[in-house]
Amino acid sequence: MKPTAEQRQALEPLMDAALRRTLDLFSRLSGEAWQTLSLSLEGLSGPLLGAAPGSQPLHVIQLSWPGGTGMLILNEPDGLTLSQAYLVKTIKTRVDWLDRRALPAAALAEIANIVVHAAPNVWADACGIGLLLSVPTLWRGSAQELEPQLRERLRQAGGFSLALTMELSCERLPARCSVKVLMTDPFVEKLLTAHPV
Amino acid sequence: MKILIVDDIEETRFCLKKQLESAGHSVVGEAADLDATLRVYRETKPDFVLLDMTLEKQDGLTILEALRQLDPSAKVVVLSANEMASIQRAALQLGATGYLVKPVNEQKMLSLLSSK
Repeated sequence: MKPTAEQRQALEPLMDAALRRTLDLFSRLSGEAWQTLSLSLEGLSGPLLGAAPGSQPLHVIQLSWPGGTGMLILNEPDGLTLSQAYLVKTIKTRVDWLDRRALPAAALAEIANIVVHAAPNVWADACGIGLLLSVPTLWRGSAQELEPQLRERLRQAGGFSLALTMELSCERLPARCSVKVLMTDPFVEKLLTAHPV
Repeated sequence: MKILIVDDIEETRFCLKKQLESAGHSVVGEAADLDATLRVYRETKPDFVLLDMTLEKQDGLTILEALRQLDPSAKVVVLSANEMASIQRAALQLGATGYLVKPVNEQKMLSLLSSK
């Protein structure tokens, strides 16, 4: 589904509100300001991970809800940078990192849990509905390895037609990432009935 | 305060435990699902339960309801990235003492635990 000009115009305030909330959450989680590199609303014809930066292995953390699925996509070094910034902010006492090897991955899952909630949080309130999101699923590998796996999973889940992609960066950490939200036609129809945000 | 943490990710429980213990609270138990939550609650009789909303086996609302059936005076604070008004309302209607949206403001959480 390629959004019509009318749909794009109607959805724009919701997409902007989701972006603002997402940026705010990244800043609160990392303690540093984040900026928008790009925001796009397109059909699902292109590669899912095409905009992911560099040739490093990727982390993809996915959460789903009825009619939608959201992913945090970032490369491994940026994932480590972001999870460390989050942990430093969260745990103020000394930690023996050798005993807690799973901590960065768990922190990344928690970060994804929080930032992927941003868009459905805004949209559900605007539509007067409630949504419960799944627990995060973590994927790790090259874009070439992950792309067909994700495509297959989305095909099985069925019906996703529209993708909101937010490309974000933080100069001070530094790190960058993508947050991608895929929607089904019925979910988009619901969004078109939303109250102003 | 004696606190029971319910979250299915061990490392998340670890982070929360560190925060609470730094503030002088005592984490008397941890659980990752409904059965463990009810068992540890009976064993430890905590002053507060900190309950994550998004768990693998059951959602937090199911655990909240079961806890309140087990002990109608149970004090349960929900921690969730889900900020939707209808979900917060549902949790409060099921008897949650508080609903804190992630990322949780540590001072807000500690003051909630101290005020009840």
